Amino acid sequence: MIALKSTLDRCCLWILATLAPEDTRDAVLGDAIELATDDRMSLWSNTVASALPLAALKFTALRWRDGLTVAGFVFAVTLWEFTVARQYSWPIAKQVLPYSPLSTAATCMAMYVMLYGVFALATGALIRIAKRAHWMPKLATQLLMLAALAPPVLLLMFPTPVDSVAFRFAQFAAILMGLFAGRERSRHRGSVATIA
Amino acid sequence: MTVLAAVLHAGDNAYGTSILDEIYERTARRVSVGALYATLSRMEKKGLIRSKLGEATATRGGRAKKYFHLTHDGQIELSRAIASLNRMVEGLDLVAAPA
Repeated sequence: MIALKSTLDRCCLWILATLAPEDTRDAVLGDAIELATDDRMSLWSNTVASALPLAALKFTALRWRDGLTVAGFVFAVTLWEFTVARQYSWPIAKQVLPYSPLSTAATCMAMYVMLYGVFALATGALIRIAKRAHWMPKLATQLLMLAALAPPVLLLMFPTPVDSVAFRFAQFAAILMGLFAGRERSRHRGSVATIA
Repeated sequence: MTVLAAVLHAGDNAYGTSILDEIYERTARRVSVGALYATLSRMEKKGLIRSKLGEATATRGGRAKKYFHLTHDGQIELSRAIASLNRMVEGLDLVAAPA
């Protein structure tokens, strides 16, 4: 067996595993390793030459309904920004304010970030359900996660008067934490279900 | 056409690496794994080939092989493509390829 000692080899295998569709992943990795074993084609050159065709192959696996789901989700993210996060962060902050040592603006911003954390948690749970029910291919769920991260990126590009880079990074972190909290639970429950 | 012919040449042992080796031996072109699987996947969708999962070996890092074979439609399509190519080059005054 090929000695996959170098970081470059591992990186190449990771790239191939990420790009290859699920039904051909094992075959692609196995063939790439076999070809590299006796220097018929190095892992590096195979990965460079395979990246585009594999990515194209993966995107063709996306169905119309996956595209619609992601588009619908982007719409939901936009709605959340304008009808929930911006509208409810101040009313919630008002409730928290007597117990908060922070300034009014900081408390309001914290509530806004928290609302995005809640949104990301719900998104993580949705992704978990979609994955377990095999409703969407892995690529669609990855796109969904990217869409969840869109608001802070867009707001960094088009800032509002209260924006600051640190604030948007806090929002970014809250979304990531929410998403991974939702997904981690799924992994844990999945393993318990498998054992059972 | 090249891939279909390589699958036929590889016979019962037609999986990724052996198909790539057949292509290299006969055309002196080294094709990447990704390009091969993208082509095989398209042909499988068209019903020209079928695949089945095979055994995993240590030389492949414990990864399973995916074997391919031509369907009846695939063989007809290959014959048709060869006939079309022959008709296209018929009567052309071609320079002989170096041996």
